[in-house]
Amino acid sequence: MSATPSPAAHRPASTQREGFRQAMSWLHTWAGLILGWLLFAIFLTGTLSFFRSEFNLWMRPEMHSLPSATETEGAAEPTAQAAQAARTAQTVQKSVDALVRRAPEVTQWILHLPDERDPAVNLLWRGTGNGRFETLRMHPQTGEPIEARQTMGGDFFYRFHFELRTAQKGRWAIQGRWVVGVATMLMFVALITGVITHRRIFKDFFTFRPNKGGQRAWMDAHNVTGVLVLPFYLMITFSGLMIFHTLYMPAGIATAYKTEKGVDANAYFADLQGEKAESRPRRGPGDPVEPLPAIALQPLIEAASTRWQGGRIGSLQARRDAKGRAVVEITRHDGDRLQYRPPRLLFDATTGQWLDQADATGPAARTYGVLYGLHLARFADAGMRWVLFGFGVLGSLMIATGMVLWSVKRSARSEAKAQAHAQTAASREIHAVPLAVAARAPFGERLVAAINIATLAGLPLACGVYIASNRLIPVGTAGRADVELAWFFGTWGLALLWALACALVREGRAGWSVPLGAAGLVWAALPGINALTTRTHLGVTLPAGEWTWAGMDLSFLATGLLLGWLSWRLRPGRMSRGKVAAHPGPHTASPAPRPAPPQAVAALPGTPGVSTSGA
Amino acid sequence: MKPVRADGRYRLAVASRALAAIGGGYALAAGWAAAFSLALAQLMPRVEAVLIATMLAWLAYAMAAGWAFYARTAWGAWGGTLLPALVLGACAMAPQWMGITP
Repeated sequence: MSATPSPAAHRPASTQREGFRQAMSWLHTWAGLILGWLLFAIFLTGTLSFFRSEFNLWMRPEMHSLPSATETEGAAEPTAQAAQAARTAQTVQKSVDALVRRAPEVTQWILHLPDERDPAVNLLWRGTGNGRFETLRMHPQTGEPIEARQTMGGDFFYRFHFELRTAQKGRWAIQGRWVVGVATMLMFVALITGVITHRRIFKDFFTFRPNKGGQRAWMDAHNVTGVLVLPFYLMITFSGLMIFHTLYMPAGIATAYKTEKGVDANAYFADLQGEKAESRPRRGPGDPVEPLPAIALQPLIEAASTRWQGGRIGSLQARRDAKGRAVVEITRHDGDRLQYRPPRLLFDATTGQWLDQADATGPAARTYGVLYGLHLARFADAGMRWVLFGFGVLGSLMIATGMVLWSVKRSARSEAKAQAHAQTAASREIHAVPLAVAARAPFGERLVAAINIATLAGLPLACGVYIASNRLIPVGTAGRADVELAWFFGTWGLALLWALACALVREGRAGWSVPLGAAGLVWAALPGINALTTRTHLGVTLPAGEWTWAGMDLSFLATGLLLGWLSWRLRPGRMSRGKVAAHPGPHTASPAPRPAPPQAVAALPGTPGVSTSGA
Repeated sequence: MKPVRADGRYRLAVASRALAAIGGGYALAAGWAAAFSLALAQLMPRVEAVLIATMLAWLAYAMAAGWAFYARTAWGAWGGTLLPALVLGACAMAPQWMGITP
């Protein structure tokens, strides 16, 4: 929000305007700061969600034995195409048979076929009209259910990212989505106004002065990370708003879809997905629905495969439509194109007759689909996924540097005040005023510094502990998925307590280096913990060339080393060159092993005074 | 240092502008989405009209929020967001008020 234009910048300064400017920056810094903490958490978990499937897999080591589903070479050839369709049909039939044996009264099921990111068959099903879905994971060749440990896996990062989910079956999903929406909108406003008012936007592309140290370096880091991938931020915020536009901005639907009986939202959803409204049943959770009949799936799969000329099938769904007719919907794999959702073919389940192809085709609907697809990145292969992940990390850094910049600016001001204070004291020859006490930062600043630590250092720590908990909590624990989340939120809470204690009791750089160091230790220890608790560790996965598994362990290790390095740079007693120059004094000259010298402590209320210059 | 009283008054003005940006801006964006969805729906499929109007509504929201902080006075911030919102809202409701059934 700091980039919102202020009238004072455009008009001759008057005292009135200057006061307004001050007040506005007061509001912006606080509003921006509070949202910054939230945005950082949203951005970081969203970035991790690019690897949602990989987290889901890694956090269920029981799935390691499954055969990997690789794309068939030359799928365009008719014979290979037919063979692939036959294999798919076999997998589907085995899984559905197993499901029906388990739950004969099933009224709806959605079956996700295995692909290169997920080797298991994922089956969602319910025996009610509109209740919660149950989840089943199955072996693709035998249809045997896989008894994997209870965990939310990568779905937790994903759910937290857009609805601040705190439990496996969270109740505040809609409220969470609204909170995330407000944060997204403010980020969008900040981006737009930032572009309009930022006169130096091109210059800042090429400006990075790490050697200047202190505030200047933080400012440059904020600008570089902000400007460099600006199109990505614009895309991700705008598409984020559009994905939930039916929740956030339903006014257009309310007028264009108004009928005598009220707003026909169902018709809108159907149009948006390119479906017919009557194929979308509207039922209450307890409404009675007749169970599905036995369905011959192989001819349908062959028909779909022929129609898409070898295009991959992503998932199948069987349900009863609004008229009670049993239908099968076959969805193309969402990695096959940018636009989300992929096209779907509708068949009559009893006769096997093809009914309809559902796909959004209008220019605006396709634009919406492309925005949706860009946000979810289901289209991306491994390389593109890493690029997007990198953009997400840069975005998190932009937010983090912005918040640190706030503290650095404030502490510079307090420091100037403290020096003036010290000079007055010295001229009066009063020795009773201890420097550190005289220069103690105001409560608000120390509180912000504490929450900065809790968010910027505490969240990576909590994420690491969450992943570690997946290996450390016994598999049979009751409510295991929620216990993992308890570890996550418990750690985050502890980080907050630590940060508050540091800011209120003893200011110092230990506030940063301890949680960051702990995070580094946890992340770096993950491959080791994995090796001690599972058979899917690097010693097995590296020689076998299983990069989906090994890549996770190696990335954890790299993350741990990076966090450890940050913690080392911020260790107590180490002064950056920029700060040394700013504090000529008897204490700062000697690198003391004890917590930072008094002036530095006073001037840096829990602020990482690290310059970005080389160590 | 500013006198404390003026500081408080300015903060109140800022809070007022922030409310205008958030509330007035949303009203403007929603009015825009409602009116333009209805207007565009005469020319193209309804879903296309709603999507185009809604996508532009986010831009309208962002611009309204910018205006709320750019306006000379807090009253200007409210007028600049709520007046267009009322006009757009009236346009959206006009067919119903005139008894034209959808």
